[in-house]
Amino acid sequence: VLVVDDDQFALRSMVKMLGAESYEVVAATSGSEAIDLLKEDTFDLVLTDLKMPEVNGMEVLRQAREITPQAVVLILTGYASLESGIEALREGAYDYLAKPCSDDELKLKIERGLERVRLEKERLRAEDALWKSERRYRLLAEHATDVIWTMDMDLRFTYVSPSITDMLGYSVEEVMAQTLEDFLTPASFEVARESLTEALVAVEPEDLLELELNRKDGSTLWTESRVAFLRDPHGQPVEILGVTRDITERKRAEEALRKAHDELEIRARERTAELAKANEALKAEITRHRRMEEALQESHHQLESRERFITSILDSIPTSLVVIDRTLRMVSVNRNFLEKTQRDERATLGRKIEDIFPQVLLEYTRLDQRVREVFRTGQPVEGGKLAYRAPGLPTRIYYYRLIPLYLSPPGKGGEGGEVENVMLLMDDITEREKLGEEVRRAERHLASIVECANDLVASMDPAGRILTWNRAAEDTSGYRPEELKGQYLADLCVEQDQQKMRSWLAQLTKGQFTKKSVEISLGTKGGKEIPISWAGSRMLDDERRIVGLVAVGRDLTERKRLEAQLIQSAKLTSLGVMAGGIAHEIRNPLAISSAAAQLLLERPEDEEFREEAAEKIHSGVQRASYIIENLLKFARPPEERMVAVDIGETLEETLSLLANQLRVHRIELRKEFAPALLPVIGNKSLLQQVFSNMILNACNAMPDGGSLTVVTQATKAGVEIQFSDTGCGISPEHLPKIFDPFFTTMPVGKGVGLGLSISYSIIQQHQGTIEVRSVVGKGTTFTVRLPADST
Amino acid sequence: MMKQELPQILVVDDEPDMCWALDNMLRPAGFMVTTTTTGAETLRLLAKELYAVAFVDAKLPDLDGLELAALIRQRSPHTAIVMISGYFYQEDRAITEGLEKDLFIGFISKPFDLEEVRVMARRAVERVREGGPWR
Repeated sequence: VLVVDDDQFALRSMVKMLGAESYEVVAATSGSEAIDLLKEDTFDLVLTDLKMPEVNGMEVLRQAREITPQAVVLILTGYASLESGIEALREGAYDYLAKPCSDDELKLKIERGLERVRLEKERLRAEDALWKSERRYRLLAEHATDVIWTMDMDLRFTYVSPSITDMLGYSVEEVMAQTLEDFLTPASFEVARESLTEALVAVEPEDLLELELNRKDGSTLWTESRVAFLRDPHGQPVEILGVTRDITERKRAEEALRKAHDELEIRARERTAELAKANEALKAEITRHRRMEEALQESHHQLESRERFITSILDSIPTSLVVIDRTLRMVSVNRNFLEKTQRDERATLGRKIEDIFPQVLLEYTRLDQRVREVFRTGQPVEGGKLAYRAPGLPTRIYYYRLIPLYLSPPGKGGEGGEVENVMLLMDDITEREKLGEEVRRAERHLASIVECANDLVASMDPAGRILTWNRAAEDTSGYRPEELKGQYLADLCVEQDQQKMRSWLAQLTKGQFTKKSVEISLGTKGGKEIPISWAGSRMLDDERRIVGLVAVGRDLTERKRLEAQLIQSAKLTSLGVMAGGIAHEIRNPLAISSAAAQLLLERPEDEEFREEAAEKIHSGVQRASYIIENLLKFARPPEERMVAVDIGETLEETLSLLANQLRVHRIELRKEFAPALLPVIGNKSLLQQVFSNMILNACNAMPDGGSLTVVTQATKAGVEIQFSDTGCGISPEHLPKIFDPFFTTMPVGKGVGLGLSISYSIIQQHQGTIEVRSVVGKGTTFTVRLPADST
Repeated sequence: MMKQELPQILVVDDEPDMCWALDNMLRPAGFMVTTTTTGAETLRLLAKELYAVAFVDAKLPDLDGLELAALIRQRSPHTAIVMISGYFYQEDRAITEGLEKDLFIGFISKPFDLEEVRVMARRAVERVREGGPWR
């Protein structure tokens, strides 16, 4: 901002004010100083006083308009004279202010003036850019060989570049005066219209248009045009812009090329036809020749391939083959022979056999004599074994044969034919011989294993007659194998087991046997019974026919003894558990007896009481002794013998021993005993052990009390005893294991887990079964089934 | 002596013969004796009558004797309890603990002496008269 005023005071105050408004202010105290500054620098706004000595404000205004036409000039007039203000406006001042004026008024005017300057500057800049750009394009258009044109939407030209004159002969003005239809051949006009219509719809214009144009001289011209639409901001086309290029030359070149092509093709076709004809004739000739040749070769091939075929067969058979003539010379040998003897064919053919085979061998086998014999008799000879060692190789064993070869086949009975050659066949049987030896070795090996085995091993024919009998079998039974050859194994068993052995062997023969072993006792030569667990298998040949049976037996004497010990020790364990309960059980009747006795002493005169007390003493002592008796029975080692046992009685005795145990556990006992059950054959003490185990298990399953139901009932085969508790039950994953030895869910030290496994084995000894059913949280039922005494 | 002034004694044992023996021992010694064979009956009787002493068998069909002792203590704090058992011994932990905790004032093991029972009954009654056994 340039501020001009001759009044120093006014000038300073205006500069100060405008400076505060952050304008860049320059001050001048006279008109001439202002004009100098205008010439040196550019200002956007000039604020000048009108009345100044020498050069007044009007002059400054005029100079400013001339020097910087973009700057606005504000006039300050002290006279408040409208006239001078209007004059200033006429001279080009932007506005005027009457002195004195307020700061705000001045500020506002200056702001507006500067705004105007800014707008004006922007307009000028835009105009300049537009002009420059238009000029650039126009220059481009004017100097291009291609014709550049624009057209309004009614297909009237609005611009055509001067190159049109070179292209068509028309001047720009002539073109502008005509329509598009005038320039285009009718076909091209159609193309143009169609493609423009299409292009109108599509946003992107069509590619290139090939159009034929009419020239002023009447000739036509091929062009290629690229067309684009100028669109308004709404996408509506307002103008068509195009660039058109003369492609006559290109078209002409294309045309020439195509013609040349066509010409070439026609020529080629003609020439090919000629060649084909000549070729045909030649081919026919060749075919005739070839056929004749092929026929010749065919017969030759057949002969050759037949010979090759035979040779290859002879060479590939794994037998040494030598053809020998009457003079005992070798006429033909196969590859196998050459390989086995490590010989060269040339060094072999034509040689005599004594040159090939060592003298010792010939003397031993009399091979030469045998060959002569075959020539004489015409009968083949099955020779035999022959050991031959080729140089550098280990000795191999052969089986040799001699076969007569006839020139013509002999008639019936071998007459008429004459033996021309003798064929020597040598089969290498070294491996087979070795194999045989290995089999014999394996046999000896197995035999020694069987012999040393601790188990009894007996092999039998399919009928069950003993063939071999090993050392262990001999030691156990006391019978030597020689004594038993041909005897039935079943006959060696104790009498009551013989039928069992027979049926087991019969099952084995049928292949029905299970993996489970069978327990059958053997009667020894010394008259003892030895319990033996037998396992068996059958021997099958390659056709799966049974050639024999094998029975392997294990002496159970020792195991039985250990088992008995185990049962006894398990019994003692349950005795320990019972002891606590039994103590109470005995001390109760003892306490009653003792109290009664003491009272009796105190009141010897009371007759009625005496009787009562004596009765109490008697029954108490009886009860105590009954308990002790049962305890003794239980603790006693079992008798070996199996006798008829009353199950009901056995159960009662067991329950009496455990009555207190049940009371202590607050278990209610329910007995549902069937009357008059058949006795079972068994060992009372062992059965008692099983029952007590069932009851003690039930007690353990019901730590908070419950009820135990013991049911007996007769079944078809014997007796069934059920023990049902209302305890915690057995989880499904434990269920399959409960009969395993040492399986227990009890805390360490509370039980060793033998009770059920021993019960299982005891019941098995009685030919019975033991089953368990259990529901977790509901209870468990053990069912023991025992066969009744059949006698 | 009025009938009501006789000390009331309750005998709990599952064996009727045992009840008979204790009844015959205590009655001539000047006690009123009531007998029962179950824990449930015991609790019913306690609700009706105040007993100075209860002789309790350690093993009962429906309730554990030790449990029953605890219930008696709770429901009838002025009743002194004496444990009787053929199962436990004086040295058993259950017994020594019960005595230490004053759950019962004495223990008698089966078989027992006539005087032992009477002395125990008298001592219990005295303690009750002195102002209750339970301090």
